[in-house]
Amino acid sequence: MPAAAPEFPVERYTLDNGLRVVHNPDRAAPVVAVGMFYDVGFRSEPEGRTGFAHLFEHMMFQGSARVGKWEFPQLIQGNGGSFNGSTTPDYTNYFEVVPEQALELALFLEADRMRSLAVTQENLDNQIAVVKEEIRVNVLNRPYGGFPWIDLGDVMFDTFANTHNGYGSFVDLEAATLADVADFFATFYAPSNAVLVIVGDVTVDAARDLVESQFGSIRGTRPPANRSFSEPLPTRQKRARKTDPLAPTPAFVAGYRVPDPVTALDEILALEILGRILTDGEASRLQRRLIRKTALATSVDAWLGVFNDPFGMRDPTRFQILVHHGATSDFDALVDAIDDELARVIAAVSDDEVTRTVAAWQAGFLRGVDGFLRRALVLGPLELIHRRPELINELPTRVAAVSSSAVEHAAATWLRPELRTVLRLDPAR
Amino acid sequence: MTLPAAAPPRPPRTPATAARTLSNGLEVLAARRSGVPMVEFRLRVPDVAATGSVAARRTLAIETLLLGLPGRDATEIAATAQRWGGSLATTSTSDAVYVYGAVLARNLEPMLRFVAEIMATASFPTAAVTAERERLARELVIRRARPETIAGEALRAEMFGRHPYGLGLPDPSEIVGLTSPMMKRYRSRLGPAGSQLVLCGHISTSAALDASTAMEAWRGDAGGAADPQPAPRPGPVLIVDRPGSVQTNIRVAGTAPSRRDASFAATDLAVTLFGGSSASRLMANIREDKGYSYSPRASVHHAAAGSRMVIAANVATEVTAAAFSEIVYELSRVVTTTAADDEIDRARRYRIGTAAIAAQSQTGLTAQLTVLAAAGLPPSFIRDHAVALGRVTAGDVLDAARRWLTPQRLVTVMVGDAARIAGDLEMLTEIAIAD
Repeated sequence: MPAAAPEFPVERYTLDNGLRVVHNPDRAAPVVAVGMFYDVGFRSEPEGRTGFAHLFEHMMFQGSARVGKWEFPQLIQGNGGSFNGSTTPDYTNYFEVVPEQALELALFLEADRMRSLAVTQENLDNQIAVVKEEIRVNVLNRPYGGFPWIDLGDVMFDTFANTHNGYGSFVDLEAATLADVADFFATFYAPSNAVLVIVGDVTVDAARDLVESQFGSIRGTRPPANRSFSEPLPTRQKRARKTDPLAPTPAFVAGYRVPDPVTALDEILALEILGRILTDGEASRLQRRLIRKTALATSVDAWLGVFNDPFGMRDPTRFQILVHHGATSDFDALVDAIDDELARVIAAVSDDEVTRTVAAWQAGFLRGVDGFLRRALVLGPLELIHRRPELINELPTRVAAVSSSAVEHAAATWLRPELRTVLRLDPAR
Repeated sequence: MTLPAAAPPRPPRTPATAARTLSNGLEVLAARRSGVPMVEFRLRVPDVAATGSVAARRTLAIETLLLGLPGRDATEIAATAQRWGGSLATTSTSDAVYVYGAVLARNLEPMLRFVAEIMATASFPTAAVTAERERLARELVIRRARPETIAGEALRAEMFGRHPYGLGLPDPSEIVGLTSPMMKRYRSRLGPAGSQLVLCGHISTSAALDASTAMEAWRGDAGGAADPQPAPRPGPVLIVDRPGSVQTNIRVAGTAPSRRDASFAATDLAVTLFGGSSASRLMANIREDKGYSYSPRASVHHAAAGSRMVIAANVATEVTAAAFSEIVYELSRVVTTTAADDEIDRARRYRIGTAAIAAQSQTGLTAQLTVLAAAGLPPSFIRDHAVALGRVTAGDVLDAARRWLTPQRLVTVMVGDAARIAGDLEMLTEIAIAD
């Protein structure tokens, strides 16, 4: 039995300067979430400047014409809200969730830095140091740090956009200059290259007036030319190994090329369901096979996109299966077991298996968009990447249309060994 | 274009709730939060693990609780929840075991009946227990390799010693010999009398309470609470050596007031302006000025037998002593000087505004109600605390800081490369290297 599809009202318009706006009014609580999404991520950063898109995200909090360094957090938090930002392969976002009376302030802060980012060498040096600490926390000082998101692309792909480390090398980060900041800002941080999302307690008319007054006078420029990062599908399986001196036990990831999410969304949805059938919970095939039955694996997970963001990446993206296992577990036996389960999936998936997996997916999706901020973070990429924010209401129904034969077909078409890259992580010793 | 002014955030309204105690002693609290057609459920069963071996049994028991019922295996249990648009998981704290998840609102009643059946009859099949204890032992090795885990374990031991709160993750060697009968015996410790169930979502409170009667078939008593936590006795800075570490995980911690303490609201603001937000003094100093750390934080954690304040900063190895001296400096400043009114107002608005924001979503309100139910506090505490925050003065903040944030009363633990950090630290303070 399918879950009720959500019916979030979605208003959508474009300002004269090209800024696309998505507004979902919701008066259920006196709260508003604001998300500003720029169509630039670490796949767009130049060679010699790995990690720059993320470093730039930090610089966006360092001051603008009317907002000094350190004022941004004081203003948002000092008015009862919270904020953050994140950088992904294809977009960078900035978001605030505030009491409704602070909406105009949040929009002012986003507009001011879009209009007039103002940073100094001292601030740049400071944030390079902060980003290096972030990388030490999340990668260099942590077992399995950055695995597999940093390492897998390097083996799966051939071009700089898809292979390089999105967190950046320390050498490249330290080489960043104020001129780089100005260039990046001029190229990518124009209203015509951005999407503004508003979710919460403000009427359509009031929100539109505020958006026009804060953003309408920002000069429009031509958006950057569309760049494709596509690469041809591989013709044979790739294998590689890395050593992680901090890891106590081995792991491996199998990364598979998948179709373009924008033009083949229904196939991506079939792969979403396939991923859940393989690894989501005790009823999933690989948990049963690799953990309960054979006790070979410590954990097994599967997801789409670099950061489990199936709707937030363009082509080329990936499907990956990550396995942590004991030092004495046989790697070849684990890979064989995965291939055997995939062969069984291709042979037959039951309707009940698909139906219950779809029901769980729908419930998880609904739960994930109940909060205004989380909903804004879902709406942004649906507009930026798919140009269809209404998908937030349509996805549960489209997922329900995924059939057992579609799941079998997705496995047979895309989870083939020749489309696969297997990267092993070995502990030291 | 001038900076828009915003009126101060309003304290959140007290959520409409209804409560009842079932015939088996289970206390149920229901709240309506309209939105997506889901209901969150949180079952909290008080249970304290007083020794490492009980903690090991408990850890394995919650990992295997959902793996078998008479006549049904793990796959069927998980598939049943999926069919209802539901999720089901377990976790634990020092004070309690939790069974929790969410389900489509129309399926709340069968889901709760199912949860009761699990609590009353989980069968812990031998094959499942055997496979899980091997897997869990390997997972514990991975968790214990993380520097944050090492720091957390060392801090617990240093603050609470042999009290149950001093226990960390079980040792894998304590897992390997556990059996299915031991798991069943452990399960019999988990009863409804004294336990709490919070239900929150797209359902009327009366319908939610009606659905909760499906749990009355489950019988028994829950465990009690731990003895009050001991006051930590500060000693030298304890260094846990992690050779080659490129960062040091600094933890500075002490006792904090409970939510019932008269100084709680003022302490909340003192901790917030010291290190509880991105706009705090700690962030201004060791991140935005000096670039020593990515995300330094101070926060208050409440448990049934006591509360604690923890300052956490992960800093580059070479600036460990410099960062520590800045943390001590900021603590010294907050206990010796009165904060400006506008700084206190910003902290106040942050705490009031984010409490209202958290209550917007079903998961957020459920989390708030669950921690309050665990503490025996009513839902009106959400609003009462916000109102209390509104009345705190600069003098109150200074008094609270002097009582709870004085550096001499705090315990410090660091995980890092001892050979590279000990020399500089010794110039500032006494140190000890952990065995």
